Amino acid sequence: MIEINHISFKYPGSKHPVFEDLSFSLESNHIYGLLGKNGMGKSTLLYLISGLLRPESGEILIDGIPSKDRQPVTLRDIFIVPEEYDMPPVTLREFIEMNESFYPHFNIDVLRNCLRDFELPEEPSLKELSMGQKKKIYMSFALASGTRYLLMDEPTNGLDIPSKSLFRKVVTRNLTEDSTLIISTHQVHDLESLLDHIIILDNSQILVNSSVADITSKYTFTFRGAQEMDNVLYAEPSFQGNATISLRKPEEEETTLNLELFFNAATKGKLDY
Amino acid sequence: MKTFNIHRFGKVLKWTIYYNKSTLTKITLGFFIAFLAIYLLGTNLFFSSSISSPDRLNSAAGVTFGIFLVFLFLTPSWILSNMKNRKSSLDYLMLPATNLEKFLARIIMVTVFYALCVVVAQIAADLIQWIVSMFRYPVSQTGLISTDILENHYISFDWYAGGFKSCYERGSILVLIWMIWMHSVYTLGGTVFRKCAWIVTSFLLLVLGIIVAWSDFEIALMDEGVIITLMFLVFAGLNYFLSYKIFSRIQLINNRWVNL
Repeated sequence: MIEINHISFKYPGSKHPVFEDLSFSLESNHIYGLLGKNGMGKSTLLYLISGLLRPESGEILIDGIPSKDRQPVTLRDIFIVPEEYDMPPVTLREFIEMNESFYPHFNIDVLRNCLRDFELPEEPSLKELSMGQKKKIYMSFALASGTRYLLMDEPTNGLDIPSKSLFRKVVTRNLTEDSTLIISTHQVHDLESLLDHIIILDNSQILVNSSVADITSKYTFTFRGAQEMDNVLYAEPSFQGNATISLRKPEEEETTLNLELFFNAATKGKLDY
Repeated sequence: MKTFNIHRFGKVLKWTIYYNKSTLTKITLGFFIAFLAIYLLGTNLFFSSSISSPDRLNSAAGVTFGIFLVFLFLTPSWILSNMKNRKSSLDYLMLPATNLEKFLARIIMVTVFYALCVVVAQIAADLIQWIVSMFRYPVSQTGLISTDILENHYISFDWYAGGFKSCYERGSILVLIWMIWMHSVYTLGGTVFRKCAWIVTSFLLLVLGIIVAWSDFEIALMDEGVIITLMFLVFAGLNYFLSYKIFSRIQLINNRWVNL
């Protein structure tokens, strides 16, 4: 469990606070979507959770241990995939040799599966790979590391269109059962089917912290004509009619979450959160 | 929590060597070229018709040792050179090991392994110099510069002993402690300053040296060899401790010039 307790943070050398008295917790065994507009602190929050940044006040606990201490017992259970990553100047075999022994639950078969699912060769020459391919290898290693907490910052950025759907496949097939995945993204279309919990950051505060199940039990997401706009909380025009959010009535069936619409409605203050 | 685990430390050290292979190669190659140029040009192998005399080898040995010594002093200021950008910092900081293990691995890397690179480069350049001189002066060539370095006892620091004989039978103890202190100062400089650490640290040392030279402070302590030894040791320890504390608190993103 990750507990974020009253943290305040601003970057060294900066006067503008990124977070002030932020508190929430992340339960285990979920796939969290950390959403927010640019500059809302999504990446910063991931770096704070992983202990790469230190809060000015408050604390972040990972299974009860402050993340800022960067203790091995914490670090071997947490893996962060940054938005931009370049492999070190080594071969994949060397990269595995260098790192696998640090992760007690590392599984080479998972790595092979991920590489296969990403349609990469098992022995790629790292020098010849594009940035997107290197990112896929790093994400494959992250999944194979078997850490309990996996943090990914904009994982689909830099991937080509087929790879974005491959990413969902890779995660679904290879994420270990007791792992918690936190994905920071603004590319909601790429990942909405993957997430089971949504956190929306706005103005450095938590605007929404809710499971997908709770959202879909509370709201209905439908396309409506211009004449059927009763009780609509928020709507956006689309080719299929108006994409709408309304409060779900008990007799109504649950609908599939339209994450982009939900995000826009939440950040515009149209929803009750 | 165990702060230091020798098995894990070994893995961190191995990781550091793997990760910095290209840096080690560049240092070795750079020094090899530099030494070779100095040896071939400095010993006049190509420009003089006279044989390479022991004096010339002796001079080359002195230059080699001087370069090695300066490099040895400066290298701790590159303790964070493996964390120049966000990617490499993230790799190192997220490595599942303690801050102490990572800190010590970096100190060993920049002190021992960087020094080994210079030694390897020197030996390789020396061998080539020796082979070239053998062909050019088959009868009277004078040998290896490395042998000259060892034979002339540069590493015993006897040249510094005179001023402290009243307190020590050999001045080398004080020089050794002074070297440790210098190492600790550059280690601290390397962890504090994010850019041009070796220049900033050298400049600050120069300023400190001028201040000490202008005051009576140094002269008063010179006679008390034990006090000055203890003082250097205490300050060296403090420098290493502060460096470690700063290393433990380093953040991935920092817009300042210093890691404080």
